[in-house]
Amino acid sequence: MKIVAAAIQMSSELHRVADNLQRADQLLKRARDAGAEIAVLPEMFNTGYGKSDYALFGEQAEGPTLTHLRQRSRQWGMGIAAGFVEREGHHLYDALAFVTPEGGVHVYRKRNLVFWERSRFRPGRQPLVVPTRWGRIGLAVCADMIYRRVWADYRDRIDLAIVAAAWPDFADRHTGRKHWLLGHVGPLSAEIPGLVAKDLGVPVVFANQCGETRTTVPLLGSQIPDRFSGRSSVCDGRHGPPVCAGTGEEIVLTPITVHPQRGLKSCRTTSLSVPAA
Amino acid sequence: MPYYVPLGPRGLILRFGTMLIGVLGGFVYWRASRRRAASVLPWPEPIVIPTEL
Repeated sequence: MKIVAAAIQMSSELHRVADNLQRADQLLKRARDAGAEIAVLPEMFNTGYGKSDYALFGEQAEGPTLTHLRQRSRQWGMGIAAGFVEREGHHLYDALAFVTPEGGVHVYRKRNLVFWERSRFRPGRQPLVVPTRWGRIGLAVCADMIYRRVWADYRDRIDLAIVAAAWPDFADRHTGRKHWLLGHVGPLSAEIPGLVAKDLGVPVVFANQCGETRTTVPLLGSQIPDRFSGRSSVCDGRHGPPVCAGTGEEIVLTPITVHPQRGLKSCRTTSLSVPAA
Repeated sequence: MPYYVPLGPRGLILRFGTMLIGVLGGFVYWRASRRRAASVLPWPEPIVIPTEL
C-alpha cells in the first residue's frame, strides 16, 4: 500500500501553546493539501522544548491540543502524530499522541529521558503499537531512537515507525564548533531513521524541531548556544533512500510503502487510548 | 542499555552520565511530583482556532 507521509519540521516558542498550535495547523493543512494521509509533528511542538517547568502545560486527551488535532484528523481524514506534555494525576510525561480519523487517541510516553528531562518527567515503561487503517504503527520520541532495545521491541511487530524529536546539534550555532562529548551525537538524528528503516524493513517518519535552543549539559554545567538539528526525514523502508529536510522550517512529503501484516501481534499500550466518540 | 549505533569510548561516558542523571533527576522529579500532589493545578484553557483556514 502506497500512502503519502509528511514529517513537519517546525520551530516552537517556549510556552506559547496557542501560537504554536496555530502554526502547526497551517503546516498540517499544507500537508493535507499535498495529499498526506499521515503527518508527524515534532516532540513538544505545542509547548516548545527547553529546560522549564511544564506543570501548567500538561494536558490529557481532552486538553486543547489533542482536542484540536482530533478534530482536524477527523475533518481531514489524516492520522496525526504530535509530541506534547501529558499530565496524569501529579505526574508529567514527555508524550507522543497518535490521533486517528476515527477519533482514537493513542499516547506513547517517552521511555528514555535524557538530561534535564529526567527531573521534569516520569519515564514511560512500555512500547506502543497503534493498529490503524494503514497498518501497525510504532511510536518513539527523540532519544528513544538511540537505544537498541526500543527497536528490538518493535521488530516484526510494526509496519511503520514514527519518531518525534527535539534533537539538537550539540554545537555552537555561531561558530559551528561541536561539543567535545556530545558533538558526534547531533548528526545521528539524520542517520538513525534511515538505518532503522533498512534494519526493520519498515518506513520511518522522523519529525524534528528546528530553530535556536540552548543546551545545558548536566553534571558538566556547560551551556551550548545550540540549535535543533532539523533534518527531518521520511524513509521508505528498503524501497529507496530517505528524503531529508534541511535545517529550517519545512515539510518533508513523500510516498511510502506500507506492508500491513495480517492480524495484530499485540503489544501492550503505554497509556490511555480513547475510543472513537 | 546498549546503543543502536556504536558511540565509541564516549558512549561509556554517556552511559555513566545517563545513569547518574537517572538517579539524581529521579529524586528531583519525585520531590516536584510530591509538591504537585499537594497542590491544585489548573488545567490549560481551551484554545480556539478557526475551523476552516
